[in-house]
Amino acid sequence: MIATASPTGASSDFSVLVIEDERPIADAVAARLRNEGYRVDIAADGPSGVAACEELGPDLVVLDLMLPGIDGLEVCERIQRRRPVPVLMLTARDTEDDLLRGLDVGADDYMTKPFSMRELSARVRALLRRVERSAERRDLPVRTIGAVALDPAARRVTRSGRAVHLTPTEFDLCYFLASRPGRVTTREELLVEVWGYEVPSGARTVDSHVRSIRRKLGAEVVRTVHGVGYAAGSAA
Amino acid sequence: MKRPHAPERPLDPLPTLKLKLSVVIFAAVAVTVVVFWCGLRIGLWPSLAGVLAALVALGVVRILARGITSPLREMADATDAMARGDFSRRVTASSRDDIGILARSFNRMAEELAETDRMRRDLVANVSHELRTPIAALQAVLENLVDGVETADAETLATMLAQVERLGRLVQQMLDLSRLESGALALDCRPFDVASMLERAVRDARSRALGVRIEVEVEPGPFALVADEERLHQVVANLAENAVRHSPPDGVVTVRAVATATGARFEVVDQGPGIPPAEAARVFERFYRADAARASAEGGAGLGLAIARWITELHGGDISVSAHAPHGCRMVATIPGAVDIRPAFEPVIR
Repeated sequence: MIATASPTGASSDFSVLVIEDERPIADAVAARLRNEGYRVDIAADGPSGVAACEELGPDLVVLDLMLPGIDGLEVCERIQRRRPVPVLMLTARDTEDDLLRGLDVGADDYMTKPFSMRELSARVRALLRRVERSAERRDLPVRTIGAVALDPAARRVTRSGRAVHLTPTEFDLCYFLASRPGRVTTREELLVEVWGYEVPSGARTVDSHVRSIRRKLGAEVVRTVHGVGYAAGSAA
Repeated sequence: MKRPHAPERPLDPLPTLKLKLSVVIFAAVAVTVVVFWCGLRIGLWPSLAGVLAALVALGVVRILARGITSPLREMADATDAMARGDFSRRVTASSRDDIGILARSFNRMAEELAETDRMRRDLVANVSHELRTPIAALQAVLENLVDGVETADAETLATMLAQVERLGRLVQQMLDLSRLESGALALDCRPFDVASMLERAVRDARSRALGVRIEVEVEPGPFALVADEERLHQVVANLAENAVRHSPPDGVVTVRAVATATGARFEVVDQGPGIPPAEAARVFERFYRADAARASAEGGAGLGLAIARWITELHGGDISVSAHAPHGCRMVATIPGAVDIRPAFEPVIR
């Protein structure tokens, strides 16, 4: 299902920062991503991770949730405050609360330890592809769901005129649903269209992001169609 | 939560169940008689007056008896909820009779069960976190090897071996702790030479100490102690390992045994950052870590000190931590037992 990609010249333009205090995991992730053709740097704790992010301006951050110094959640928040950058979170705890908090502070995706390296590189590839694709989005129209307006050029979201912060994944998910008003999309379709890959644990990822969107924009924005999937909320 | 008595439970202030029942029966009979008599006086048929009296009496009983047995039903419902794993239910314990007493102890029991359940959840979360990290490292490296991203050189293999050892240690510690806590472990108390035990106990910590110096002292001179040597070895080893882990790279850890009138005192002093007084009591809890986010690669899962405490308490001693000037902390384990001070004590194992 997930193919191991051979190194491609195209992806070598991207740089990835790995913030992880467990040396063996950090080294293995770095080796894997270098093999895929990315430039990779490693930071071993929270403060140096934030500093490295500012200095290097990576295209993507792989972030461990449990870090010495500052907690991974706070690292994520600080990184996002300066500049929106896709964050893939690694966590050894998988209670719903932890995941929601992660998505709240702006992580785009998360993986629970122990995780598959092949899946990790697939997700990194998908997140980076989204960065590329967002450049093509300049010409797409602004779409609305009720009082929520989504502007793809600026990647800005407003609700009744007030700006709301959405992570890149949440934005894409909302925009995708908004561009198909009145139609129901299955979780599997969403994974393919929004995330760009299909994984066994994926349905849960979609649900968590939808919950996070509802908390930020209101429950009525995304409608659950039981047994089928999700749809943009009926124009209210 | 506890109210003096609920208005819908008129008999709650009465102290016993027997008294409540008496009141209910007396009220029923009195009402029946009065209504029946009044009925006859205003010229009703006797049978009609009887039916009317019975109905009014029934109503009075219903009002008065309200709340006498309802705690029992509540308890039955709460028990069912507990069987399903929901420990949040409490019953109304406003009455002062025997059933009220039962309801109150039921609530206490529910509270304790909820606490136990919470601790069990925490334990499972901690254990799974501690197990996940080394497994994640192993899976990451192995997958890289399988996919040809990394080569199986000596360094990579050593990394994996270290992770497997960490898993092994963790499992061993968890088994030790569960054996200690269940009381399945009996002490094997015999006289042994304290100095040679200390030397053996710090050997492991020394091999991992990288720059940290470990000094061993025995005061006032070599002595023998009657206690479980194997278990005390574990206490000293765990304390020393903990001290090394929190030491600065060029620090000194002092491991000292002092013979006292009633037994022996084992002290381990480090020059690390120390422990805030507020946290001093918690360091001996399972999975406590000075830095909650730090799952240290050296295998500090937060079980070593918990094991040390159990072994010390099994000996009838106690263990404590205090600040050590100018910085660092001092762990002291006091072990009662017969002491024999012999300058020329022959070490059992050299």
